[in-house]
Amino acid sequence: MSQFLLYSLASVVLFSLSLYSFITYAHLLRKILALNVMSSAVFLLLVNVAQRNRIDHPDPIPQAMVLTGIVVAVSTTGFALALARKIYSTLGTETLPDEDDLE
Amino acid sequence: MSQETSNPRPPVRFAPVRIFAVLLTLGVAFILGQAVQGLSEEPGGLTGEVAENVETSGVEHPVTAVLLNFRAYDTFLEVGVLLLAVLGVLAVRREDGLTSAREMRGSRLNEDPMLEWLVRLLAPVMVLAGGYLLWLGTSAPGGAFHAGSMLAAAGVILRMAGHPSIAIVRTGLLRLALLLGFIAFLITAFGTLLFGGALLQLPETGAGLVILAIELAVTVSIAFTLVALFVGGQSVPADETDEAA
Repeated sequence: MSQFLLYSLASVVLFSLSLYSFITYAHLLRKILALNVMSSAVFLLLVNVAQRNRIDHPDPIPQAMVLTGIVVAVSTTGFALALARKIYSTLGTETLPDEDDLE
Repeated sequence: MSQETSNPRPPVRFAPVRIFAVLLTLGVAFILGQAVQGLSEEPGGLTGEVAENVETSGVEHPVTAVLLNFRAYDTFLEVGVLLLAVLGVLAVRREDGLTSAREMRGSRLNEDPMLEWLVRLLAPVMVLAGGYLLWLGTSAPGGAFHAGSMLAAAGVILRMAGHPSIAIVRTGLLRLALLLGFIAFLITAFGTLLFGGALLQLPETGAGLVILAIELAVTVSIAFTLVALFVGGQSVPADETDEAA
């Protein structure tokens, strides 16, 4: 198995596991963490492609995409945390109302 | 049905939904796995084209050239996303500044000389390092986002220590700082459209200066945005929700 395929499959596994976690756990913080791991999986794939395209240096375009993606992920996480904080202070639950874990 | 906050993992009542979740995950994994195996292992992409055109872009480092010249539109929208996120956080939090009078009264700086010394040492050094990272972006990994993150870290340290200097940036100045990056990009976009080029097609002469100016504005914006995001996620004491900043 080549390095490229190994990292690509690792990215797929990471994404799927965090997708499962996102669906099944009710705690908002776990959902936000799962979202972050999903984006990290995508970044892994992009950086893998950048390394594949290497001539003298890795391909700069996937790297720029990852930089943009990290910033978007940080913005999303910041807003989601503020919303989660507000939900907790208003409703008193750290999950969405009437929601339980699926396992 | 009572709120289950004391028992976060109650017994499963609805097994079909759990099976659906497992099947969905396996399905997604299978489809993505097939897609990923179809990726060619030969080098492809635009590495060569970018390397040839870097000299015309105004900077030396290829990633900075891609971010701020060749794909400046993506960076423009990225700054917009940051602005949207911070607008959402400010709306949810209902507080306009980066700190409040109550938090300043409870500052731990007065009790802890080690903390005070550390903050007084670290904050200016981090600002300096941020400025250096901004300048470094032309020839090495660096640029607006790295510098903005470093400045935001300095701001977070000041906020966590309760240093009064962070209260200087009040409502109006904070809003201007948050908007600065997006406004800089907007002006550049309109300028390039008005003077005959395509959207965000920087002129070959002076591209470096334009990029530096945009990066400066974006750095300031990112620093204040990240600090505002951090402050927005912190808990607001119950008796403070109606108090103006």
